Amino acid sequence: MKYTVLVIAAIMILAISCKKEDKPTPATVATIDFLVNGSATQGNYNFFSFINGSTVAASDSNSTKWDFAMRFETFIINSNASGPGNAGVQVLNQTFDGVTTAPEAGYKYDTAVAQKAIKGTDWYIYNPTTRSFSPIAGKTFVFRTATNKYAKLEVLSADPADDNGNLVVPPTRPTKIKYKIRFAYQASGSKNFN
Amino acid sequence: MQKIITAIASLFYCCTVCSQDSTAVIDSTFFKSMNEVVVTATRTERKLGNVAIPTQIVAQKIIRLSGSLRLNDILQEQTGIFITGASGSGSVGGGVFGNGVQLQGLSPDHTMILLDGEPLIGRQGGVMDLSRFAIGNIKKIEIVKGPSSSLYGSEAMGGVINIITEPLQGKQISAGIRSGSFLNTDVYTSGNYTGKKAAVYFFVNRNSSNGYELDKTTPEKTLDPFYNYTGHLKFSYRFSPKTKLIVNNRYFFAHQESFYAISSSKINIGGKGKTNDYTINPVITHKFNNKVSSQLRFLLSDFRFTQQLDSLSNKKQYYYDDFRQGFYRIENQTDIELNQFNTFTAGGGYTLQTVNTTRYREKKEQQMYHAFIQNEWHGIKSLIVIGGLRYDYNTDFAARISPKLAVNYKLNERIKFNASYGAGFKAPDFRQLYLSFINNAAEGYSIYGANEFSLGKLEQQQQQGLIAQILPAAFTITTLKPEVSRGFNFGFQIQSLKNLRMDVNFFRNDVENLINYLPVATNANGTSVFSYVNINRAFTQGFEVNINYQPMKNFSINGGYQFLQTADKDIIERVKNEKVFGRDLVGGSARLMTRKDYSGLLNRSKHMLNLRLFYNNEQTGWASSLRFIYRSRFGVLDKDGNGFANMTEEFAPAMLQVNATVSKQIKKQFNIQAGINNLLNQTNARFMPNLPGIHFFMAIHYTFKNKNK
Repeated sequence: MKYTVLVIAAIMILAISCKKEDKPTPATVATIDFLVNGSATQGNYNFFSFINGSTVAASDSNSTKWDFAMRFETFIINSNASGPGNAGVQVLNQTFDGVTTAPEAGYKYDTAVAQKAIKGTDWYIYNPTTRSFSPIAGKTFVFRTATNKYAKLEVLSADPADDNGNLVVPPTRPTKIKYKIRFAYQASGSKNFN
Repeated sequence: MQKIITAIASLFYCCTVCSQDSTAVIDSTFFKSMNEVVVTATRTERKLGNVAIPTQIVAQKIIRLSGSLRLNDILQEQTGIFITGASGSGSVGGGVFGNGVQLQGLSPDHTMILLDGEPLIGRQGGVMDLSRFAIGNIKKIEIVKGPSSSLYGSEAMGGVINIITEPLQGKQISAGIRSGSFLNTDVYTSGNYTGKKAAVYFFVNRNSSNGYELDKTTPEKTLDPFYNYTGHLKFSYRFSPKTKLIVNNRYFFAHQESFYAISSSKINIGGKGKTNDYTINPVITHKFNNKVSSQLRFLLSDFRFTQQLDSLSNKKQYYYDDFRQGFYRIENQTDIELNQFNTFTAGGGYTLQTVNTTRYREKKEQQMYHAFIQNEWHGIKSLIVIGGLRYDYNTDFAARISPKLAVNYKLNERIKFNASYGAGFKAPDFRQLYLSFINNAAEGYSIYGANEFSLGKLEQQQQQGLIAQILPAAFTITTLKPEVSRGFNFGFQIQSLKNLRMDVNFFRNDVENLINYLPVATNANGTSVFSYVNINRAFTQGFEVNINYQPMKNFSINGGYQFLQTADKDIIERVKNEKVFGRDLVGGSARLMTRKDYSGLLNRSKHMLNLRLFYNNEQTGWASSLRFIYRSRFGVLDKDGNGFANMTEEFAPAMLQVNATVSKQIKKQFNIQAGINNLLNQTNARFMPNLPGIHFFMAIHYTFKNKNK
């Protein structure tokens, strides 16, 4: 186990050092916890902005201050049917590190309330027997943000939690979903993440 | 852990070597000789040495010495039997899924559990809760593995566990009381009366517990309080020396409390579940002559589980579930000794099965007809061949024929070989066909049985904006086909110097058309609609070794080991041919998975080991047992969505359970027993909620035998 951690650390250091050599404007990379409303049908979405790398108040939902929002496992994207921004998204079957540049085209939008850009089956598996859903490893979301910048994102884990973000296990019913997400944001407008 | 295994392994080795010098006398209560009579393999009485299908026996003496109360207690100590824990919702006892049993790595719905040769009902989610069955009335348990018998039903692909109750003989009365940790109390009384033509046996049991808590951080108890009653009444009447009637009746009632904290840190939902089940099983046996005998068997059984949960603050109903199953069968079996070489068995029957539950739209029923033939051939003295065919016709499915073949070759008195092959199938169960369930709680998903699923309805809902997307899988939903399996077993038995026996069996099972659920559409709110399809192909393979050694008259050592490999063949192909990713740590980076990372089907331990020591001194009345049961880690979760367990957090840890008892017989009538279970206090609230921490018990048994005829 220790060995694995070391290897991962080494890879990360390598990745970071490569980045420095190649690019004058490196993408900001961060891993954060994102606590989201656990109800599929009721209550607010939780809004997220890549610029700040943090959540945005629901009162700003009618602005371009946010890029995507989540409720339970539903994503909405700030454009078209869901917001005033110009965001778009696509899900690639590649590791986070494997996505070095954002694709030219192929970005999708929420065209209607019932026609979301991201479908649940694109990125997770739900098991009705154990009532757990698992983000599929190797699915990388590439975003054009609300303000036409580029970002990539990976859902690392999704766990049922209570209102304070403490994880709960069955039979206790969760009220929140605690996501761990990793993202890289390229503020320069370049499609290159390195 | 590694050390313990090494210690056990070396002890094994030691025993095997020591046995060469032993000249001990054999105590038949421990050591099953080839003359032991078994019934499961052929559904007629046969000597153990003369059955082609390897049969394991768990004797009453072993059950009593182990201090076991419920069926799951004793089965989990047997080699290669894996008891799956309660999953998801509900607590033990009244839990929705309860304790299921796997044989040779095949899932619980492929294992048949019989009471005196008749199937037990009341499976929920394909799983039979074994804690429903008291074992104070059991004479022995016979375990036959692999799909080698055609007499019981084609779904018995993993094998058959036959619980054989006390015979109708003698005049005696017994009673006992036991109490232990968690206020677990068990009281029983049983009795036998045998007259010239009639005989009767009864058994009444009450079992209760205050429950226990394994995880103090949750407001819920791991097991909520329960009590249950079992009644068993068996009687026989001999009309003539040739005609006999036996009626077997069983009744069970359970009351299980359930309390939950839902969207709250305190218990706010509570209620009870009730289980009611009964079986009436009259069997008429008629011997036409020395060569022909026939049995006519009737089975009426009914199972009902209801659960109502209310909000504790406003008393409003929060959840209600009612599941009712009926199983009615009439069957004939006729055995004909054709000549000195061949014994021929033929039979057939009709079954009506009904299920009515709040999760189906309406009451559903299925009718089934079956016929079977089996021939046992003793052509050469040392060779037995059993061939059989079973024909099943189900009103919902096409007819099927399942062949079986078993061969037993006795090299000499000490070495026996056996091989068997069988094909079987399991028709889709009611849930897979008729479930119509919309989860209105947080997740908001819905799931439909294949027969309830309608593409037209989905398209209509899509037009209304309720369904966002119909997935390609929806267009593949058709009539479900039965799951089909083939099993092959090969093994040998070696008996040396009368006090050491070793049984080895290799097995391979291939199952196709496994039924699983799949997302078929996405709701407008992002959640999924599921339905059932024939999708997976899987195999299980491995070997099992059992050693029974009696170094001294009063002392017996039983050891067993099962090595098991399982796989979903489609996942292997996906890993080989497509890009499948996984993580090594929760929240860690994804990486490409290789064949090496694939650990097999969930809920299967690769290694299972047991060592059981029994001491029984008839002169002094002292007896004791010490049992070690080990199972290696097994996959329970798929946290990275690749369909299998690969990171440490996706496995339940390995577990060593140690149980011990000591007892003393006082005069002929009294027996006092004390025991400690789970001595190492190994618990896992999430993945093994059925196993409480270290617990103790004391018991007193009283038996009065009337020797006058």
